[in-house]
Amino acid sequence: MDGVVNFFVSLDRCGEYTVPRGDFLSLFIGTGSATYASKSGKILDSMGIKNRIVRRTVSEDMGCGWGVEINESDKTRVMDILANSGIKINLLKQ
Amino acid sequence: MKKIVYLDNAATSGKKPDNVKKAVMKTMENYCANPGRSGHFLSVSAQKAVYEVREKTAGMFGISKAENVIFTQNTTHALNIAVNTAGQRKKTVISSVMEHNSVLRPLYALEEKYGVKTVFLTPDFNNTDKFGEEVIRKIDRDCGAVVLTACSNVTGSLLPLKKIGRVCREKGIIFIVDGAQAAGHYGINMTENCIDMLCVPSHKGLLGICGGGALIVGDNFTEKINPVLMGGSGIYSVKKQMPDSLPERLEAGTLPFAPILSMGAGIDFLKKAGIEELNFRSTRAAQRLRELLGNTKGVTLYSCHGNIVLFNIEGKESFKTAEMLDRCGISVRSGLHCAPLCHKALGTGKDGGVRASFGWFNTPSDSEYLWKCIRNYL
Repeated sequence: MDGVVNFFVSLDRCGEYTVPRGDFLSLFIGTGSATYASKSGKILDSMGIKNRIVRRTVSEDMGCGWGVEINESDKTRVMDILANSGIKINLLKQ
Repeated sequence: MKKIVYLDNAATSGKKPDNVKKAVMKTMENYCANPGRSGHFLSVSAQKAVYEVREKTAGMFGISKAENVIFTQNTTHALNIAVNTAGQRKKTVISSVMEHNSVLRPLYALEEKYGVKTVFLTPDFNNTDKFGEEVIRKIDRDCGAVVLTACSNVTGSLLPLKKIGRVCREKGIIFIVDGAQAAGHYGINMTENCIDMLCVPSHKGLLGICGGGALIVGDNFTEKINPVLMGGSGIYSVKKQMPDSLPERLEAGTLPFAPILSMGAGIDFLKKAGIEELNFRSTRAAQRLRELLGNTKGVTLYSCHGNIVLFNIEGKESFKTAEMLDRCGISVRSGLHCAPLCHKALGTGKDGGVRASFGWFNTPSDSEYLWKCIRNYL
């Protein structure tokens, strides 16, 4: 699980982007650390992609992990960018 | 007002740049929160700031992976992790008599714990280039790691890292470097020098404040590194073990946030001012003292280089000389400098020596003032 980043778009945390509830796909991609979330956030910032670093429960047997919230419309692009940056992604639908 | 001349920069740098002071204030004014723990705005801001310093540190030491910069309490903490990793191989470790106790004691512990054989080589202090060949000659199939300081804290001697590192890489030997004295004074490129693990402090040549350090792991190093401290990591709280991924695997507990940010600011300062320029200033000031003491009857000047001057006054214990200098407002350090094997090799005696270590802000006039005080004392 090394270097895997949390990556989710939450249904109830969309206020920052002022996108109406329901316009987000709730995604959860892998698990990861605050460092990888920061790395991801910085890469996305540099490419002008809106994002927000967040902390969430990963699973009952793991506990918390970190991730990046993004707009659902950026999903494919973001996944490509992060994969090309050496960040392992494990996509799960929540 | 009493004149103060600070010449103990090998212990900690005596003058911090203004941007370092501002960075420390910022940790209290802008992000008074715990990085990597909570999900609120302040904590995430702190985490982002820490990540920026990881990137700066990786760039400074020639690696590309910011996540391979592990923040520690100090260099000693970093060296304990690194040396223990070497010990896992249960093979011979080659080191030198120039090492600080932060290397020596973890190595002695490996001898006891795993029966690891350790070899401490003695360099020619006036020609450490030859030392590279000696280390290479000693490397055989039983050797698992080489642990060396980049720069002696007693003599300022530099070791030929590239020559040794390349051979270690070819032979699959772990190469660990103690950068406590070299980082910030000299450029160290881990990739070019084939260094697997480099340990540095926040508060010496990198000009940050005390309380932090870093273990920097080479981009291509894949051996599992085990923590010497275990505890909270901010992730995977249910797991019984520390997480596998770096840096969190080795960063148990709250990070030294202010020292980390101060170190980042110190790196900014070094980049702007130029490491070579700053090193030129400290070396020039030290060289002036070497010239003066070298021509003074009654003073023993030991082999020393760069920003370090090591001496004794004949017939005086080193701590007495240091106390006299302290009364004159001059801060130096006497004794063995936590490097007993180095002093033994130099022959300074049981009281060790007096070390004046110069920083970027010192001038030749500081050396002239010290020399006048010595002359009055003789």
